[in-house]
Amino acid sequence: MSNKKIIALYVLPSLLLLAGLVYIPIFLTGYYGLMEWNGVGAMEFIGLDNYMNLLQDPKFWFSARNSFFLALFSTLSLILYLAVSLILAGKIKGKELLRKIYLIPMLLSSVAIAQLWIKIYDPNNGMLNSLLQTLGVDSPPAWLAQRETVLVAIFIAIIWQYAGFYIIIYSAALKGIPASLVEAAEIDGATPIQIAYKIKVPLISGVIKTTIVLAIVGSLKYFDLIYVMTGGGPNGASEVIASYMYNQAFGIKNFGYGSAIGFALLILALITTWGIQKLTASKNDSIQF
Amino acid sequence: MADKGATTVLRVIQNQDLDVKQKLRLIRLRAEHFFFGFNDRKGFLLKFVIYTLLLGIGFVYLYPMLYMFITSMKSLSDLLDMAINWIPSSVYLDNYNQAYQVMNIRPALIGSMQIALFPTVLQVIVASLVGYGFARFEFPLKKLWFALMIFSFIIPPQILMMPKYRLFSEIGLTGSLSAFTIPAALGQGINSTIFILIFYQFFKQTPTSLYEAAEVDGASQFTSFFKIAIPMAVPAFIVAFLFSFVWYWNETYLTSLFLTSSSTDITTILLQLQSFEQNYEALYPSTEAGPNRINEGIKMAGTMLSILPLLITYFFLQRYFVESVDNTGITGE
Repeated sequence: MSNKKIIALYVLPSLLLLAGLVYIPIFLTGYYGLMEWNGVGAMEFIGLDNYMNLLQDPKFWFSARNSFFLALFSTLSLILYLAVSLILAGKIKGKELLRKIYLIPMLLSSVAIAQLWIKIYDPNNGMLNSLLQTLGVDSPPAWLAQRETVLVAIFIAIIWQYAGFYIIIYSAALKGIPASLVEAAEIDGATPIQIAYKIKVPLISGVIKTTIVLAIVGSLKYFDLIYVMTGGGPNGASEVIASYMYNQAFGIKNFGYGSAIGFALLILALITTWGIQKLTASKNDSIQF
Repeated sequence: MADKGATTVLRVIQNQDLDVKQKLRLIRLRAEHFFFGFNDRKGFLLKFVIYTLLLGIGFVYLYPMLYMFITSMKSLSDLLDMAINWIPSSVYLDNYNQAYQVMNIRPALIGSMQIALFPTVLQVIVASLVGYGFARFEFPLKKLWFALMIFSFIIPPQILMMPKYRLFSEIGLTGSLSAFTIPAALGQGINSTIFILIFYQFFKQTPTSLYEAAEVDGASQFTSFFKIAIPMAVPAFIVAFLFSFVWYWNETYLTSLFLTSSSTDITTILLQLQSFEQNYEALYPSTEAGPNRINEGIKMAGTMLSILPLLITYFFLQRYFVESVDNTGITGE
């Protein structure tokens, strides 16, 4: 069989439905953004009004700021996940059990996780505030009901939710490193920290780059926990772009404006992904042994 | 270990050949080795910090499971008793009995298995093929295709819901398993992009010399894929299978959109859990004589039942995950 046929066979499945399921709806979304539409009734063409309003909408920019913070927070948390994976790759007693435990949140549905964290953050008899009170804090914050704390509270829940996902990807990648390389370094007298930093991390840099893209892009469109835990509140303080879009489109039935937000989110995500590609392009992303 | 440290310090002090400065330096070194480790031997302090950290994080992760499990064992009087926090006065299994009845377990379990298993198998196969194609071959517009593939992940699923539902009902996919298997078989299942990226990275990590050697020996492209690429990426297959299974299992947005809005018999455990309270009211109507109210214990028993199959799958795969790596021989050479 010729090479071209094989290539087509490998890549085509993904591209077939892509057009129908993804790209046509994108254009539709951009098109709905030009309309005044409540989602079911007749559409009325209003030109670029939705997009002009969007640029001057402080709530939109505030939600964009929150999404940006979430992306930053998620990316930084990758360092923690990587450190834990590196430690678990070493000679630690009970590491298999610990790895199993860290993956538990991945098994729970978002709704179950949200309800759990709502209980933990409960201002009166939640676990967190009970602990703080026994430690002598007189009036601990009402985490999810206060503007100052709500973002951090939700971000922590999100980091908690995704740890297992990244740890297992890193662990799988670390297992692919030939033991001979590590042994050679050990014979040369390298410390575990040197081995981790100078051998293991560079060898899985491709996987790390992939997880950075996943974390940033995933954060920009993040929706689940925020929607269930606060719905974007209190008073819009925890609104991110995706939840703002959802509230506009399905909440107050302003479908045209919601579509415009969705389209803006796409452009933002596109620029970000392009930026990451440009920033990391200089490094060689494939490693040959 | 502390004893040994002390005797070494004593020996250093008693050593007559060294002056005080040298003695102090030696003691400091010994102490450093004891606390921070030397070469591959970790020091006591470092070990202590690492284990405390790992166990602390472990507790934070185990807590929800424990909470759920214990609450599901509590009878109504235990739930109301503020003094009973962690250990219920007796093991109360009636919660499970009621949850089992309410959730209509047998058809729900079959539905969940179908919706999680079939799309997952298709999705993993297709994602591995696409990932392999991107990792191993050069073809026209490769960068563009790759960017489009990543782009399809960026889009919030909420945007695509309405057009997708219209399309699916027009071609008659709603209300059947095909609404899940066909997109999965075409690389558009739940989070397909993530799996393609994972496979792409794994296949890129495989040394090209292996493929070249196989080519010299006259292996076809298919032989290379099955005999070299797949064995090297077994951990990736396990990870992809596990996550895909879990995500399909926990999916309620798509299942409620495609299954409940049209007449169909298929139901899933998560859908049953979603309508748990209504179903409970219907099955155990509150009468004037006995107001049979739903409580936290029964709800938690239902949640436990919904994740039990996932737990079993996970613990089975986790074991296999370790063995697979040892068998591939990647770590050997």
